[in-house]
Amino acid sequence: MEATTRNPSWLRTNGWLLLLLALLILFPFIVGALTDSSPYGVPRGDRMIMRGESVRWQSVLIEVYILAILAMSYNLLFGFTGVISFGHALFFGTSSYLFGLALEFTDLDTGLAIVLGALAGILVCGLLGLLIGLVTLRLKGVYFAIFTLAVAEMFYIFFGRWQLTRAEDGFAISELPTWLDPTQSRLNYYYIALALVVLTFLFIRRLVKSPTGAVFQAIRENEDRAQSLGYNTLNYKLFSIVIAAMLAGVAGLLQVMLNKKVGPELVSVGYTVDPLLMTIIGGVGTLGGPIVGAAGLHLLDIFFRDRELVLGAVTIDIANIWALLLGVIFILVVIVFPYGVIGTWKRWQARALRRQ
Amino acid sequence: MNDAILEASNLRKVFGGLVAVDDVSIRIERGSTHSIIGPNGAGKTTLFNLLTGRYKPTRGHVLYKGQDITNMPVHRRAHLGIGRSFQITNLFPNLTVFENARLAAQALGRDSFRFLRRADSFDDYVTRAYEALEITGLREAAQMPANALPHGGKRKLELAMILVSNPELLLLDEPTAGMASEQVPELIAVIDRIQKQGNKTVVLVEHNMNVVMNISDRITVMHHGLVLSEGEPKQIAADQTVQNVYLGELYDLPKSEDA
Repeated sequence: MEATTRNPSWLRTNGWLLLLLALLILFPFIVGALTDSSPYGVPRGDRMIMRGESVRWQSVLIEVYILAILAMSYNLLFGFTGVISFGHALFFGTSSYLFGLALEFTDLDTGLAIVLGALAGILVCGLLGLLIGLVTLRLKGVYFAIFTLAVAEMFYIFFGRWQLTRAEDGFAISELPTWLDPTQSRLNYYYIALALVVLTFLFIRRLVKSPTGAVFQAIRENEDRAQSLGYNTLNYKLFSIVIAAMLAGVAGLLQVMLNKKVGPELVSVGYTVDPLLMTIIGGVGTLGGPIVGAAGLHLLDIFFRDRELVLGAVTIDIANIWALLLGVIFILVVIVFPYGVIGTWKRWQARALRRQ
Repeated sequence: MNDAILEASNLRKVFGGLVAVDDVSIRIERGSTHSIIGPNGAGKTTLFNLLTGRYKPTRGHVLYKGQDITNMPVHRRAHLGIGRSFQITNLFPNLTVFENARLAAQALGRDSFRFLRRADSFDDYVTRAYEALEITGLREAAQMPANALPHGGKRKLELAMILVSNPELLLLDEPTAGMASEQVPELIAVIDRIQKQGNKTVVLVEHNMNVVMNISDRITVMHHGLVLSEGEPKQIAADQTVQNVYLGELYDLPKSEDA
């Protein structure tokens, strides 16, 4: 075994990640201490009311985690396998609908409905990915992207008209066990979401460095060449889309439980564009990029959303120009970091190393 | 005499209204070095792509060791022992030199769907990749991205990947394209070495007449999608029609603006 291909020291490569993880684990308590609020919420009778700065910031980070899982799943397909999908929201929304249907439209016991709904949501996402892949992955690049966009929009229209699920209004999820319900135990939910981000990250990191992941990247780099070496590239692309679809399904489940509401907006094109932008800003084909992108964009969004800009006598409501501002930020990031924040940073690092 | 490793009969390929290859039959003897030459637009590259499986012929058949592979997908041909090289820069540019070679080794094994183990823990592929890099003199550059290699290095990596997959039949697409003329002999020596090593069969599409005359056992000359002539290098060199085709092209060049 070559020393150059082995990690020089496990702690040196993973130290920063562990530190970040420790910070995120302590985050609700740190915010709680800084703002003098309880991470558990405010007790009223025998219930906890989700009030206070710590609880509010927990939900901000939960949203970041959901978007990070979605973006990581998108990046597996787009960044590592080189397949551009414009229909990722389809998987996100499908699993939330199936989960909601299992809970609200069957007579199953709540606990069983949660387990079956979650499993069905994830499996059906994988199946949908497989079907879409089988039909379209023979198409290359932009044709595949357009087809996935068409399928996702089809589902969007369908869910927006389906009377059973109250069409465009959607339906609320009334019942979740207390330990899971983010409106009663936000802190539990925070740790569940954090655990899923960590698991997704570790899984994708392992996958990308495995023989299968190596073939994914070979396909991204040069599909013709991968075929002539003897790889049946279609099978690998199918595998990639199935995994990505299932992970997007996991993100959808987290989203639907957080808001306790199912609606066609979960299948809307926004949930395709967001992970795409987050991946590009963070770094296409890097492990940490989607997480950085998700955190960056979502935190900026939260920060600017309700702010007013006072220029002398003129007051501008930033919420109204937020989309414009986001566009400018996006252009600036792409100019300064042409390979995304993480991707460009890695290149700088590599260049500095070569100079030594 | 009946020892053809690759045999194509009556191949025809039409693109829209253009007949690129018209009724071409060719026999490649096992263990030989066989070159396909011809002026621009003669259909050599199309014929090459028909033999490698990148294109499906409009008509005709391709047999490999007597087995019909006309409609066999590219990746399955690789497992039968057919390898090909490309014209320059057909690598995995952003992966390391080592990873390029390792992927060539992994391709013919059965571990490519093991997705929960680190790729560099499969020692067999790692060892074979490093061996090939050693032979081609790329050991020092192993951790560089492939696209950071100089031109000659990319060519060597191409050959290292072929060495790793160790095919019986090797199809080379203009191996000297874009190379400085002083580097050509070095490359030819490597091709020669690979061929002699395991009694391999080499099929070469080439522009450079000097290269072809030096290393070929047999030469097929194409013109306007047809086989114009076939024979040993000496015969071809003496062939009047072949000379006319090449000279004719030269004389035509200044006139055609779109060439």
